[in-house]
Amino acid sequence: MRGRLQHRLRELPVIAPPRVASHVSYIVERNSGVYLGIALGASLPLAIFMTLVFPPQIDLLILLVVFMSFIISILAGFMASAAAGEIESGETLLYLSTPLSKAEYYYSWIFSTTVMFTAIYSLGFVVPLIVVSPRSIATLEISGALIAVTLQLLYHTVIFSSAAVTLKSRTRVIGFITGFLLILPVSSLIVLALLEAVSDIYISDEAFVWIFGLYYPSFIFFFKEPNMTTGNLAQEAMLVLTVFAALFIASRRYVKRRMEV
Amino acid sequence: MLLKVLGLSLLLIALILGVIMVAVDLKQAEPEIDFFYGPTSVGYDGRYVYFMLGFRTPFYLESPQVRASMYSIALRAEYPGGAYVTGARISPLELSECTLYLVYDFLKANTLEQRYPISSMMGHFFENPLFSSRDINIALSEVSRLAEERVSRPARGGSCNLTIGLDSIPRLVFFVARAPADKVSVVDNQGRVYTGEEARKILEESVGFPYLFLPVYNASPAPSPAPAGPTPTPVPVTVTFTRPTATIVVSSSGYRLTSTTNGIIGEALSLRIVSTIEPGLYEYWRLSSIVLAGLAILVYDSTRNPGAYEGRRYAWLRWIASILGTLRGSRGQRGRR
Repeated sequence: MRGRLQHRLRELPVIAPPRVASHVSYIVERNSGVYLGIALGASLPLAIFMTLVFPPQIDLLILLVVFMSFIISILAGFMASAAAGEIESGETLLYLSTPLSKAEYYYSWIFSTTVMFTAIYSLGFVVPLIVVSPRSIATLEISGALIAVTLQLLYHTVIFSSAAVTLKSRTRVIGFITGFLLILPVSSLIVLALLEAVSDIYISDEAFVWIFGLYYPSFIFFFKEPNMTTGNLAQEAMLVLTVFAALFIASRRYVKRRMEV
Repeated sequence: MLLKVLGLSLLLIALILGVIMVAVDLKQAEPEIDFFYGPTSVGYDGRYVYFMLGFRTPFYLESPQVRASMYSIALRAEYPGGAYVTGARISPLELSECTLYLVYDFLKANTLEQRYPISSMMGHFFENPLFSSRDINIALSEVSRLAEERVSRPARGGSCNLTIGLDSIPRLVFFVARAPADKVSVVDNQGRVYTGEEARKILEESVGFPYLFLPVYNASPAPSPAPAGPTPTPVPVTVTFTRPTATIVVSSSGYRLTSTTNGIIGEALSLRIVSTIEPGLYEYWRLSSIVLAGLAILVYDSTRNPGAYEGRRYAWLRWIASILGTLRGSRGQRGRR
């Protein structure tokens, strides 16, 4: 038993945080324009909305935040596809010729795409709110909506960057993102609606929300009845964390055994 | 590099926000008040005579140009000329005490208006005698429930002052001012002046409109008939909003208040609300703290990784860092001395 555990531990890829941090810095440096663009893109509509469209309509504000998160998710997908571009062009070999391991390379891309992206985007909407209407953050609708879309953005970026490193082709990654964000959700709904129409199967509204929530987790917070509650937020967080855990386990095995550049 | 992007993002966001805020403030339109209620309600509970007035704030009417949290309002209500009650004039009205209620919260007021379109009801009430007082009472009891007592202080010189530090939009503002009944004299249409018990008796008979908004209203007295003889000429009601850059004066030629039950119950003789709207600095303070946070992050990072801040693009940052370094150095020198 102990021997198997030791063997398993040896199997896990070694990750040195300083090297990951160094590579993350490099990625961020190369793409700093994209990050600043995200900050600009996220904050500009909100800044305009908060200062010009007054009195603030919470529903409109939430709609804007959700819409912006959708746009940012697409941008995050394109950003993640840069990793696939690197692998595709062979540039990755250059980085791996340094002491950087495959795992470190992999996780630094994931980190710079997900955490940095989400952090910058969150700043983009939190700062205007803090400046213009700090009280609104205290409401469950607004704070919940912010957490829900942040979780969704994390969810999307983790999936997209994982897909980017795995698919190794920019075209395929863009195809995957389009499929994930647009084609699959819509086609799932069409299939379910048809199924309900031609058979006796009843699909509840909650089932629809959960199915759509697999693609857009914030839907669980916004549309699962009773909507916009802490319970819904917790369920969304559980979904996101479960997918993270599954991806993490899969990625460690993938990096160790199958990742080729 | 992470800190660099973080700091630059903060500065960028603050810059965008700052530009929009300044642009909005420079482009301030002069707000106007189109709804003004009152002094509509005159009540009497045996000890005090009550007056109520209310208006929609310009923040609501010209809201795109104004962010509520940037402003504070100082309101001053004066009753120099007294007021008419059912044809009798209460004069001079010495406001030795004012209780001011404020329905200020946008969301509350919004909810209220969704349930009871009070502004339209009030508007209809003034113009349409078919509008029942019961409906008005329902609406005003809602106001009463939602209203918050903000100021209750003795007033000098017949005025009430209310300063509101705003962090949310005041959409509907209602005031209730009260004056001790024993200091009120009543003048009837023939010019006779009543004081003391006589005045009190007239008040009890004539002040009849049962506004539930009034905090301690004394049951509903019998409605009084419409007054005989000439109706007093209304003196213009003036609402003055003064700002450092603009003065807005909205005048109305007074109101003839009519209800189905009470006939003419009162007319505003003279009421003046002076509201000073001054740009608050709350938002700019918060914005500058964001800018400082961004700068602090960048300065800190530039001392750790000077290589990332080379070139003309970051000359300003190096300059700030050098000033801060100089300050730190001078402190150190003082310490050594």
